[in-house]
Amino acid sequence: MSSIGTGYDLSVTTFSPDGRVFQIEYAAKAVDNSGTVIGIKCKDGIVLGVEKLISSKMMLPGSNRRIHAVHRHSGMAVAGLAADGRQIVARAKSEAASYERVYGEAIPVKELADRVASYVHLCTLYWWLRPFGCGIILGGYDREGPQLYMIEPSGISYRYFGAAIGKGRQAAKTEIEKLKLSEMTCREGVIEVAKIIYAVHDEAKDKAFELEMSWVCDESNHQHQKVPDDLLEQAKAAAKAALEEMDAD
Amino acid sequence: MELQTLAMKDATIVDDGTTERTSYPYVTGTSVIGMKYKEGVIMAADTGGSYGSTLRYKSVERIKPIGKHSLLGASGEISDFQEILRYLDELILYDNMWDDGNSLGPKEVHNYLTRVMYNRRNKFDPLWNSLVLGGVKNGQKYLGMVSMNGTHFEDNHVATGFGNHLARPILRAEWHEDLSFEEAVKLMEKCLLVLLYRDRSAINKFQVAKITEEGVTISQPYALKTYWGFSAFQNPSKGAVGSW
Repeated sequence: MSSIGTGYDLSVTTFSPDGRVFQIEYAAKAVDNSGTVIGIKCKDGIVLGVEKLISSKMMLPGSNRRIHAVHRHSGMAVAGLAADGRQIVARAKSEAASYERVYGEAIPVKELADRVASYVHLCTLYWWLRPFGCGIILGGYDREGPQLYMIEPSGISYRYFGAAIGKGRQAAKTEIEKLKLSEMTCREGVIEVAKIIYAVHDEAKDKAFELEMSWVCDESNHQHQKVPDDLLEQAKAAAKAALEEMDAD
Repeated sequence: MELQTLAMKDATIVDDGTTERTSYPYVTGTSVIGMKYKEGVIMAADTGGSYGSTLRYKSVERIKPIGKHSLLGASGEISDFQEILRYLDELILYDNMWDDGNSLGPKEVHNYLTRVMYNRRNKFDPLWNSLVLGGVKNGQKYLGMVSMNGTHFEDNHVATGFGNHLARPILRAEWHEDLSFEEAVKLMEKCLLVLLYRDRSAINKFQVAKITEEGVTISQPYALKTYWGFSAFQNPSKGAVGSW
């Protein structure tokens, strides 16, 4: 589907003759070239996982967080240009805080997704702004239960029970579709997400990566938090074991 | 009517015709007492909200936990206390969102409150409260106070309002390092009893809160036993000369 939009791709306020806005499509390419980000909705919560590609051996493990809490009950994982992502997270936190100030309760996840999507879309409407070069997977737990949303650089936001963006998204989506998410708890989901990220990581093209995971579930008391260290280690071990099994074939 | 004219009297009118915002307390809480003990900090307050001289609200919780490590008790305007709780809620939320294993301790919260109170005072728009902030973090006990003009300090025992005049002399005489919890409660109840007898806005319904490294416990409201059978109170009109 990639074509050169010569002449029609210089500004985000220009349509091409076949009705495409090329600048937004190019923004999506920034997302496609980043490390894989996965989100799944289990029966008791959401699990988010990020394949953090390590650009330098001197980076401290645990630094450069890609998953951010947006409010007590929700978090977002960012793929694409990290600095753009920081801006969107800051905006989302501000929207969530302002909603609570006005209405006295935590922002419903649907409302939060709408507001973030509107903000991302806003930056595709003016020639003096460029679109955000990041995709967001937003997971939260409110009165309607756990919900998962994905927001693209175009400002589109849909609700999913499983979503993946970044380099290995095609392979990741195939793996997610194989899972029986409605019967899975988040504890099991964490292991599955780790397995998928390890599986779609391309050893040849990218060397090292760090796995970052978070969840919002009944076990975490409906709070968004990093997956506890012991469970994370368990998940990594299971993922590595599954990889070796696959290689042994 | 009377409250309104008094409010007008408190308005500050600056020469260029603008009015600075007034601040006049309407629903107020009376004293809060706090002291350090062996394992942490203990704080007590009654559950009354007075509307001038009327004791209008009798179940006002004036001590609240803040984050994992602190307790906040307030006297003065109750709506301003609720506003302060909202500010602190956002502060703790942003602190939690870092999700990095660190959390704001009582010293930090005390400092934040001092900044808020002092800055409001400088704008002639004070939050009409005296706040007691106590907590424990990493084994360190902390107890401090902030008043509505931003004056703040730390001590082994603090009190607000009438507590300063009636409770602190008792605490200065009888407080010592490493009180056990039972001793601390007994000392606290001694102070609360004096306040109950002598402060007209105090009611006989108290909450005692404690904070230790493990966490916060706020008791259910309870009453103290009072004694009114003094001989001087019998036959109150004995020495009074009637007019007819």
